[in-house]
This record gives sequence, structure tokens and C-alpha cells, in this order.
Amino acid sequence: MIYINQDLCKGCLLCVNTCHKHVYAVSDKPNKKEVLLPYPANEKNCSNCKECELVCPDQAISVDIERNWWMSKDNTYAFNPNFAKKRV
Amino acid sequence: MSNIDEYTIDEGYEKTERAKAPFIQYLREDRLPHIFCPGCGNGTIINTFFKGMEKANIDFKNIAMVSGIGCSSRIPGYVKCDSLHTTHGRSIAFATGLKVSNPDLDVVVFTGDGDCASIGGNHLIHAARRNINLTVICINNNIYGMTGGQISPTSPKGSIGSTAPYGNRDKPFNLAELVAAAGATYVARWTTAQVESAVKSIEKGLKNNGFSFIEIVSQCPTYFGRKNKMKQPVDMINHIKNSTIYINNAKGLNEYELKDKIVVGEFANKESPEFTDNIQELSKEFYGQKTIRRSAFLTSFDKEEK
Repeated sequence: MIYINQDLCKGCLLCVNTCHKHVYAVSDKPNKKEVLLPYPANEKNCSNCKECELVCPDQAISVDIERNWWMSKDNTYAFNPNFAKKRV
Repeated sequence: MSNIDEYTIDEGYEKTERAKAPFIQYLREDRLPHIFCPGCGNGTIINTFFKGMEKANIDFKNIAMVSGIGCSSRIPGYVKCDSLHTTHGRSIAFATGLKVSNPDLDVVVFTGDGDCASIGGNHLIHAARRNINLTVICINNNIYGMTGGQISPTSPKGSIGSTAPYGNRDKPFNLAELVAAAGATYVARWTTAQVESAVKSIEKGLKNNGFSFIEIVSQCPTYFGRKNKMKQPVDMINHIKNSTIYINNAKGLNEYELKDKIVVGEFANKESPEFTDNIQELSKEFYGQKTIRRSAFLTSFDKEEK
């Protein structure tokens, strides 16, 4: 899951610029300080490169996503591995 | 992290839930968000330094940070380690004293371009000549950002500042080539658009036994960008990204073709004898043992006592 801390984010939109998978989008409504903050619009595209974590000047972004889509976090398969076998 | 509570001021202060960004464990959480402008490159360089430190397998408790005056020199105030905030331009001079008296420490110096190139230029050259085991990270934002956008020695020709309303007529300093010519053993220059390469060169500079100088060209959207028609930080970082050339591609080009370009890469990577090792060798030749450390805590100066 991608989480953006709204207390720390200042809205410089460098994460929108650097992400080559177009994960982030800019919100329509401004927040209390009248800044348009980014939000993770399509998280499924994320390739877990963690470039946005490095580039973010305010340490607001934390990326916590499984390494591959077929593995879950506790190192087990996220699908049935015997789905192609015939039932006897 | 459990030891964050050491630095909180109030005991009854309730911490709000914040994102566990990976490098927030090294920062003083109660001082965040930091004072830098939105889109400033200093926050990015904090992240790159910690990633390089983790890659180089260096203990965080063994690091001492030294800084002078400026925007970039506020970085050690946000980091949970031993830090020294010194006078303008003299950060490298203080760091040499710290390194000579405690040779086991990993001393890291954060300086800006005005701190490092203009007022502390002599200290920079002579530290490179002596080849002391320091890691200097120079954050070059092409302008004096803290005092209101004056022209600095590294601002490019033709750029507009508050002291040059018709454009700067002087040639800028080429800091990386200057330090490489002065005799430093590891010199590199990267920008904030190429973060992963900067991580790699910070890792090499921390491992290197000698003076290592890493210049990172960063963006200043409030003063440099606003006066040069790049108000948004995204515009500035795209301009930086478009005007970089790798050093191997720039070898055959002449001065006219390299006019507004930022040459990027490793400028020096060699080996030569180090300053504190030379002192220990000299002490062994004439005194018979290494120099005495922490002599105020010793009861006698006999040779047997350590």
C-alpha cells in the first residue's frame, strides 16, 4: 500500500513528475493550507522501484507493496498453484 | 524505533501516527516537517545520504556531521547524530580538527555552494591538498538562497539574481574540477534528477580512505527559479535533467557546445597517502608509538598505559 502523510507533504509534486508508471495524480480539492496534494490514483501500476520514496523531500511517502503480484507478504502464493491440474 | 523518545521535549507529548517512511528513523521526528521550501532539493539529499550510508554498512552512531551557515547546513539539525554547527565557511576547518583528534569517527560535512566555494574556498582547497579522510557533500543550488537570492560564485552566466537584475556577466566556478586538481582522491558530481547514481557515489565516498568530494546540483525554486522563469519545482528539475551531459560524452566537445551544460560523473578516483595516517607514521618514527588520544583522561603518560 502507498501512503502519503498529509501532515508532512508540502505539495511540490515531484513524485508525480518522477514516477514513470503514472501512479500518482493531483487531487481537485485543496487542503487547509490551500495546496493541491497528490494521491496514489492507480496503485496497481506500481513496480516497487521506490524512486518516489527517495525523491520526496519531505519524507512523506511510504511504499509497502509485495515484490511480485503472485506472492503475498508472508512468502506464500497469492493464487492456487494447482489451478491447471485436472481433478481426479 | 524505540529510542525516538530521547529527543522529545515534553514527556506527555502524544505522537500522532505518521507514515513510516524508511529514512524517518534517522530523523528527529518532533522537528518535522522541516523548514525547507516546498520542492527544495535538500530533503532529497537527506534520503540519498542515508541510503548510501546503509549500502556502505557504516554504523550510524559512529557518524559526526559538521556544517556551516546556509540552507543546506541546516540538515544536521534534523538528524539524530552528533553534529557541529559552525561559523560561516569554516566547516571543513572544524572538521579537520575533529578528524585528527578522533581518527575513528566518520566525519561528514554538509555545505552549500556559498559556504564551500566563496568564503571557505581556501579551506576546501587545502583540505583536498592534505587528503584528509572526510566526506564533503556540497549542495550546489547556484544562488545564495537563505539571504534573498544574491549571485553566488557558481551561478551560471546570464542568470538573473537580486544583485544582478540584468544578468550575471561572470564565469562560474567549476567546483568538481577545482577539487580534483587540488588533489582529492574521490570527486563526483550528480544532480537531484539522478538520485540512484548519487547514492552510489556517496557509498564510494564513505568507503574511500581520503578526501572525497561529492557535488550535487539541486534546485532552488523560490529564488533561482522564480527569477529565471522556472517557478515550479517540476520545471526546474526538468531543466536540470535536460541540461546534463555524462563526462565521457563531453570529452570531445568544445567550449561553445558545453555552454549551458552540467557535466556529470566521476572526476577523480585514485589512491594517495592520507593525512592522519601520516601523523601516526611520523609519531612512530620519532616517539616509538602512536599519538596519545584523550590525554585529559589519562593518569600518567607512560608508554605502557593505553
